Amino acid sequence: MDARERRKPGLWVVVPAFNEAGSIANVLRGLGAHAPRIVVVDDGSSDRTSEIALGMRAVVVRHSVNLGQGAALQTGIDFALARNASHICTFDADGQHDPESIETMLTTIVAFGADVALGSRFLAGTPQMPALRRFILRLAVRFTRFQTGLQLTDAHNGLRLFTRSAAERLRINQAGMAHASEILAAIARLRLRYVEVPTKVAYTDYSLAKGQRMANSVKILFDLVYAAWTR
Amino acid sequence: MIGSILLFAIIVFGMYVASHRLSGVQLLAAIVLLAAGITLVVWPNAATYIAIRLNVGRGADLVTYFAIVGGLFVTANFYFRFKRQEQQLVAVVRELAIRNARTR
Repeated sequence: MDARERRKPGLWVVVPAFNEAGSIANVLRGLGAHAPRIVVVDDGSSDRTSEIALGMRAVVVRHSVNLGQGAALQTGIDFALARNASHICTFDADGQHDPESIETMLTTIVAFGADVALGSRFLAGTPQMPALRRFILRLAVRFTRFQTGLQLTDAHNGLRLFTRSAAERLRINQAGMAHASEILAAIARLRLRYVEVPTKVAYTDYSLAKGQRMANSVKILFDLVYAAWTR
Repeated sequence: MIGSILLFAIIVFGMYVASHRLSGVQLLAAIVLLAAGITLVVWPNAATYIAIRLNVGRGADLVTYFAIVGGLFVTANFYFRFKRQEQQLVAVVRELAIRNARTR
């Protein structure tokens, strides 16, 4: 166990990745100093995502077919739990998150005795982002407040940190992108103590191209209605 | 002529369905459907008779309505089955992935 592992015993970072060969090396390099244990969940990529991640000394868990980001997250969480993680952080593979946020989230979750820390792009003022994206994200926040009663400032941030017991109780059934709302609904249902942590988000051309198509929000809404109906 | 062709088609379809293993509900639905199909081919006026009783007017309309409702049920059935199988696929792929975790 080296020095950084001693500082964060039991922290696992889960990085879901689908065709992220262009960014995964930089993301893992950035994470290196902040995360001693990283599992990259390669969601059936057709590019060299797995090979690159292996070369960066991450653990790679590979879906043999593409299942969606929600499924990839749950796989990573299952894996981390099996490796006795005490805390599990989810971190996007497109390079939009700042690895230093993990430190902040871990400190905050311990200090507040919370179960979940959620990254928020809007807590520390509005960041630079395209106007349409900001509008849709604001709508998503309204929807989340209405659906779950959680008073959040950001509804769909991929940066989250769970304690082990929170991660054990959470089950992501939405294989696709509706998992973000599903996680928040589960937080409300399980009455988990949550705290929002301001995080920087870097919108690069790459992350914007990889990010959600706005039309996809309609599909997410449909998935959620379906889930509510069949629950 | 068209009557005998339809009758033949319905009977062949019934035999095809019967050659597969069906649950109780499915078997019942298949029998009702086949009976209705045969009835309508043998007595085409039956639909009109029922339609008038139900204030629909035309037998063809009545058959169309039932076909639409039946189609919706079939679609929903396939959709839920698809969703269930998707969950099963996720479970299998996840188990395989975790078992084959790699490091260098």
